[in-house]
Amino acid sequence: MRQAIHIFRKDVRHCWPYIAGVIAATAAHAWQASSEASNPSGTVDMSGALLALLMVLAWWLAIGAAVHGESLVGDRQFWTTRPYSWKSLLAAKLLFVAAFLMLPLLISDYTILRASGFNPLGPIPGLLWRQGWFLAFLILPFVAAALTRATRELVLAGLVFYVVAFAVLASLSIPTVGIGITRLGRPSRIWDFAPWMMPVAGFALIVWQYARRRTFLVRAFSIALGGLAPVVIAMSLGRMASSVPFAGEDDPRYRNITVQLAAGSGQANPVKVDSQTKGWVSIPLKFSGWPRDLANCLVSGVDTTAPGAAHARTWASGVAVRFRSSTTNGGCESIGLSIDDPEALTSKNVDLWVSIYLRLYQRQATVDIQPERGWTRVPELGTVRWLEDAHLNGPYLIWRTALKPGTPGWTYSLSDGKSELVTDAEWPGAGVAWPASPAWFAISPVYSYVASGLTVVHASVAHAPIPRPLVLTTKRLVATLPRELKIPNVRLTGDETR
Amino acid sequence: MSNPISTHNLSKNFRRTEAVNALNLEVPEGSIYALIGPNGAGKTTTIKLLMNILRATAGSAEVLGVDSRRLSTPEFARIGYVSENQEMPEWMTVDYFLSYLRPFYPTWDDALAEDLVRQFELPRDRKLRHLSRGMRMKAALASSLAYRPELVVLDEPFTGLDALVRDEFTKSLLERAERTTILISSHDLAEIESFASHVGYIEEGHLRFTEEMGALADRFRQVELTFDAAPPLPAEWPAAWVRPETSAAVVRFIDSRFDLERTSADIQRMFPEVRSVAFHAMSLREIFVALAVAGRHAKAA
Repeated sequence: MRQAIHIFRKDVRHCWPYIAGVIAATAAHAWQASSEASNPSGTVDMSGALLALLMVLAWWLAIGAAVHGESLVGDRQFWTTRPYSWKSLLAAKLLFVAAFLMLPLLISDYTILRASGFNPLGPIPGLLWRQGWFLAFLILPFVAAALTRATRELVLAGLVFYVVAFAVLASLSIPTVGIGITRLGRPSRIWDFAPWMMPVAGFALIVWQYARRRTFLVRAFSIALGGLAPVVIAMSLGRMASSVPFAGEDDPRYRNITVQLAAGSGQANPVKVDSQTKGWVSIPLKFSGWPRDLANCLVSGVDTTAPGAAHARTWASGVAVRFRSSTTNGGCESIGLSIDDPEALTSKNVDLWVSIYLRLYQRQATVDIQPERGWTRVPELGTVRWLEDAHLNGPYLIWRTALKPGTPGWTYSLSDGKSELVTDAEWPGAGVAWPASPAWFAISPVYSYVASGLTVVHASVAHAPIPRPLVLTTKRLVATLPRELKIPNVRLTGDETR
Repeated sequence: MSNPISTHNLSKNFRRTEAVNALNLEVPEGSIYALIGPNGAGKTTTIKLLMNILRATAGSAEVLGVDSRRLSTPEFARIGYVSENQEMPEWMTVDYFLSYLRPFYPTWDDALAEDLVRQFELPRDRKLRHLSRGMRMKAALASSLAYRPELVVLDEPFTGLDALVRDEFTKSLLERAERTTILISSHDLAEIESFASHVGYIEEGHLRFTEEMGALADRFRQVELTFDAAPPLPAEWPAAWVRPETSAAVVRFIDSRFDLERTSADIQRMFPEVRSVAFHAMSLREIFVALAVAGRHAKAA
């Protein structure tokens, strides 16, 4: 350890311009992000992006300077025939990273979290996880520095990696979530660990290079690993997006929920086609077995099947069929289908399959938002702020989450005490089920979302004074269930048909 | 006790090029062993193999009783290595360079380091990158002698140094490295001749010979035969007689296995009409040149 500290002190003396660069870039980022948190604009700030780029560059250069102080490549370095212990040397470099890259970011995180209305000491495990992610992020420049001799080679290696990775990711087809579908739960525990595979493998290469200095072999493995990285990332994202959509199917509380066609008032066929729009079909539904504690449900997807064709459940038939759900407290009452190509289905009687993707929500918290007080903490979600004086045309909500992106599975409603300004808006909007890590890594520890209920807010209150306080209610998705309904022998013509 | 350096069929290939080929080298304890040979002979590669800078393709080497592939902190604390093309921490001043290295060596002697700096007239506050080549070599040597290493390995230390610096360098080395084993590769044969105790001649990766300096000097003689008239050269020429030259009534060659009685007898047998015979002692440089040229001729033939 003594030798590691000795080498570390030498690195500090040698690399002080790079250290100063990292600290300056991190401080500027913390200042900019804190200022933005105190006075959010809701618009994309280019200076923030530029500072993030500068920080990444400063990290690369600082690691390069420290590692190249005892270059591992070549056969002419003075230190290779001196009594260096490779473990001490590696420890010194890791100490450098901890002291001058990780610690400044930790302080910056503290500052930004505090300015964004979070208790900065609250999510300590998350902060530590984020440091772990940051270290994982730094493995790439560390590997690159361990396999190059000089800064220009290091920068070139970094550019090549990022360009290739970007190209590979751009060329890969990443499955996306179907329209209106929220994936609940995670696909598999392995995908919680998959993102760690690359940095762990990268660190193993660093250790190998420090212990043996087998540059040729380590380079070969690094190139292979670098080529694999975008594929693993793409697969991870794809897995996240296509995760198992249902959860709670076996829960006895929801097992008895059934759906059937609601009988019309004395009509033989309650399925109605709107005579004016031609393509709009109203299908009244009746649910039973509804638990009392459920707030409401959203019907998020419907499939229709052509007569005689195999029925497939995709819940993403946004092109052929548009859906509209009617939600009131206590459940779903009816559903309407808009058929883009009614001619295909209206010439004769057909079987109509309705596959329903039910999302069940429970009310979680109610908080008062007082715009003049700035950020309001919303349990389990993050902080929220009501803004009226932004560049956008009218007031809106801005949400922030600490340390990791908001996980889908929530809705919120906003009321002024008399009427709802926002009704069951998805939070934080469409997204993927992230791994279960307490933190994720981005330059900033705070993730911002402009409220997805923005248009509703605009329509309701633009340019109008809002009574205070506003009441925000959050609802958590507790189950996603599939239900199917077969309506045989329907003829989709006329105002009423069977 | 085993020799500080010992190799067994040590070989190194760079793709298809054989840089070092089945080298068997023994450097006795306390010796000053000069590894000589033409450019590209494999001297530097051999030293890098010994210092675990390169990995051998085949064979093995022991340095201070340890397999060279396993040389690590404890062994390097007993070895001083200086190379002409070593990359130094250019940003360090001489003073900081020495003070930085000091904690790495348990046997570091501050007084000796001070003495070396003074003797070499090293500018303490100047960065290594601003030193002349000679000064850099002196700084490297000072940093490699200050802990009284058991083994000093010098790879072409005199290249590019002027005569004065070379003298100072050699003088300090000999003064400060008593009872130290020294392995030195160099082209500066005249310099080496003055202090080397052993010599090894390496050519095309092969160790052609290795022996004590005195024995080598005794073994090589330039022989000059004078005749009354130009003599016919014999059809068979002893393998030990290299670089034969004829000039009118004089024949010259180098006997690489000189023994006064045997060589005189061989001359009488092959040149009965010889009028006079003269044996001249040879310098290391003359021996080296003779061997190098002979090797080249043999290769051409």
